[in-house]
Amino acid sequence: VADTADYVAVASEYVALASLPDIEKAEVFEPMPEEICTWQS
Amino acid sequence: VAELTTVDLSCADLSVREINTVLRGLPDGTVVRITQPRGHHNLAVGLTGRLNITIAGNAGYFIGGLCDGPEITVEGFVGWSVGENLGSGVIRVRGNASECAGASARGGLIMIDGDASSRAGISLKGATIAVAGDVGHMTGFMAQAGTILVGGDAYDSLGDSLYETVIYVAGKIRSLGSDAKISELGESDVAAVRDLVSAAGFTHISPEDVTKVISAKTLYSFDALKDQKY
Repeated sequence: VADTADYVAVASEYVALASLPDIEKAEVFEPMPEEICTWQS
Repeated sequence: VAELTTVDLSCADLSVREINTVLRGLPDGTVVRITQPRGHHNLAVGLTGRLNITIAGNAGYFIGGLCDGPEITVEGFVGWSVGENLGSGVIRVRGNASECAGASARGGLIMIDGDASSRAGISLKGATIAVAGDVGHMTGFMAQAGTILVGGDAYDSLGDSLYETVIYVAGKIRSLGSDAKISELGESDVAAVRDLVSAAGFTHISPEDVTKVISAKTLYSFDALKDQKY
């Protein structure tokens, strides 16, 4: 999961996210099993 | 006396194979900066030189794998199996790490400033892994030698089928795996954790307050007649 102020992106590996704008500023993490992440705009 | 040289290598200009070929030819003491890693896999693998390598950004799988000497810093996140089969040297990840950090690593020190996902230190064979944050399920699975320090919480089945690796956890343990047990913390453990915390630069871990997990040794030796189940 890549989390930024503008968007959240999910992919199986970082290569798939590497071309997103400002991706280098994203918080990149792997959610734990059975963990549900929610975001609010 | 050779002067300290600095080399910049960009993943935008060179393939991973080209970068690793250049790294293999550099003399000891060279300072290298790998820019625009963009999640590429297998950067800085199989190196024996005493290089000082910085990967400037998020990287992919197997970063620093099979190395025997260099110091590697990743200024970002890494994918699966950072430091897989590491022989010696130091790897520091400034962000989070995906699954299997330090898998089968035989020596050296792997430090992760963020969290590590599941199966960190799987089949560890002598290296030291220090994670500042949380670790995912099955951390230390079948780990045979070496040390794992967890600065945060450990998720389910910690130390499943553990052999001689010792795991120290500063936070909560959600559950232990098969054949793992909590053991009394001795003076030598506290000293070992203190040294490791100091080496890693972690400031939030109190060495006297960690929980020690070792093998209960009920699965340690293969027993062909055990319950006639095999």
